[in-house]
Amino acid sequence: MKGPIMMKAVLRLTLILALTPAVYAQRINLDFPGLADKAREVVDVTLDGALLRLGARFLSDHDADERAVRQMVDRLEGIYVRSYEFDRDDAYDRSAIDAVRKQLGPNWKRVVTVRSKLRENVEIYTELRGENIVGLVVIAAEPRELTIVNLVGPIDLDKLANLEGQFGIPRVSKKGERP
Amino acid sequence: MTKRASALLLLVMLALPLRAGFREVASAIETRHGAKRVTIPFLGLARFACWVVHPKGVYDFQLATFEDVRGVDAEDFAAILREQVGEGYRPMVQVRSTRRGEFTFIYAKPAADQNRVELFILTHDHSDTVLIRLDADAEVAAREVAKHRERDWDH
Repeated sequence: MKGPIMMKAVLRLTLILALTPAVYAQRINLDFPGLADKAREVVDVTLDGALLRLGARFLSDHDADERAVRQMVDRLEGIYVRSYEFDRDDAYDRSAIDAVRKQLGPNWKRVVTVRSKLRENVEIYTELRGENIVGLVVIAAEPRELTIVNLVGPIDLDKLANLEGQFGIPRVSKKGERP
Repeated sequence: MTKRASALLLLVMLALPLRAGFREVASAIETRHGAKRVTIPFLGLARFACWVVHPKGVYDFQLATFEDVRGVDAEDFAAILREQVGEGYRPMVQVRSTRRGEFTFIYAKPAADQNRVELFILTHDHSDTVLIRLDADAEVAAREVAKHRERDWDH
């Protein structure tokens, strides 16, 4: 009698472990020490778990934008931002961008690409689980600046624009352009 | 009375190792960079008042300021924090500007009490360095910040 119960427990545990990666969104490794060494300005924000919940409390309930951000952040598992500014053009190794792209598994889809020879190139990737977006990576590369943002957890695209300017996430749209 | 004083002393001595991170970091800044620590009068008294009254949700704080900290590399200070900050702290925000010679590192440790957070802040501006450890109620702190922001909007 003990054998089948044990077997059931083992099977249940195996099933849970097998399903776990599918439930949790993927966090991307954004640490590139070589970039920070060459940069003249570095911003590094790591907010996850309890710290993210605490950070969300500092958003006002009286401001509609901040209230929307708070609602979104309450569901997120992590916000990771790395931003580097350099003294001269092409001072950084673009292999860091490839290193980020290589980490994106088959569930990741590129949803936005902006290419410019003189100004910034932007790529936005989303991680899908069914119809839900559970992860987002933004790579904004300019000749003298590189910003990488990784959001982990359920994301409402309609509210995403409200995150601009919060938690170290840079503003990418001009005032008045926001949906 | 003596018993009570001894008990209080014992309690403080027992509590000290938990705060060791601050002492270690401050001492490393002094010894490794020859920084001159500035004495702040009555700081101990202010800290004691904090333990008792919890003004604006602050349960405890430690503060050290250093003068004449010149020619420092942000990475050296980052390494000091990584090595000495103590168990449970995680880097939350790190900002460095080699152009302006400034940097700020904020490490945070959520307390067992979900509402409280311990922050470890090291900031350097030209030749001055400030080190702060703060144990605060996040809810109260958030309310205070919101109050100030609303006041700013009104003006």
